[in-house]
Amino acid sequence: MKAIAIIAALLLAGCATQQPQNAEEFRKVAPGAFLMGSETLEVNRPLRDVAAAWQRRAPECLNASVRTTSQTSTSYQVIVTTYKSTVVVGKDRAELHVQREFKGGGVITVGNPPSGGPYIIVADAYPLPSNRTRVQMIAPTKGQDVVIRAIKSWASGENLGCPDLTKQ
Amino acid sequence: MSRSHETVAWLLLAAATGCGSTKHYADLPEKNLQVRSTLSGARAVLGVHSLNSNCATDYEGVVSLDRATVDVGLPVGRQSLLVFEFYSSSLLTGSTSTKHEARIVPRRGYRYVARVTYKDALYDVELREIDPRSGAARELDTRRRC
Repeated sequence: MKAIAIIAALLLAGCATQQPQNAEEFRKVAPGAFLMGSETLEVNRPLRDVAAAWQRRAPECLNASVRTTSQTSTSYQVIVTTYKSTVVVGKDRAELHVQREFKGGGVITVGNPPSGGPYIIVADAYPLPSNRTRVQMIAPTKGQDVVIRAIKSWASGENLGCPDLTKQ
Repeated sequence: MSRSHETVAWLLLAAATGCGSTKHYADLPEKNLQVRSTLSGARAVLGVHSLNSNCATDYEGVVSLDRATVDVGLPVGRQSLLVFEFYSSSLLTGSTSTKHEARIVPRRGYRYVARVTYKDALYDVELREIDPRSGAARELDTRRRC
């Protein structure tokens, strides 16, 4: 699964003449990229609650690193995956951006990624009537299931737990 | 979890703590922390560290959270760092662990409850302080200052 996500990230990075350098560029480029998709859901909570949940949980849960080691009889490899989240809250929209960067032996950086690594997820929340909120998410179709589920759960208030980033 | 998985988990824990063998937390007779665990798909342990004013940690040992409720005695008036570590294993991801740190300074006479959950690869640790007089509970800010 991780390999698919890495390939998707590389394709997104390599196929574009310029990697998205910010969330707005990611919104324009990513939906049409290979293994990337967009999804919309509505939650029964006002925008301010969704924004508050993202502001509270994202820094705690998504500013983290995962150290992966793999060993065979002839090789030993360590890759550190660093996640970085950014939450932007405005009057009519709340945004949650997730970037991811790989470092370690054998990792090749393609293109010109922004500081913090390529964007992998951008979620936007918009207010709806009757204290409801629409969440639009652009994310990989494979390989970030746990993070995506966490972002949705924070938005709906169903589960405020952190995603186990080792399960990506 | 099978015995082999349990062994892997303890070996991972030993490696993570930098020790050749697993050191069990010595514990104190007065139990002021109750850890209530609801775990599905993972096994959890609690690592106890002292945390001094220079932010240096000293590893004191590990407590296995192998029961729904585990009582632990923490030093009163001293800063401790609690490291909740979740272990799991699957064919797809191999053996993995993820951890959550919580800073605490237990007060004399107060009781503490940690609710630890792991379900569907989402985990949470909530630490509350219970006032011995009123019974009122308040959620603690457990972020490490440094």
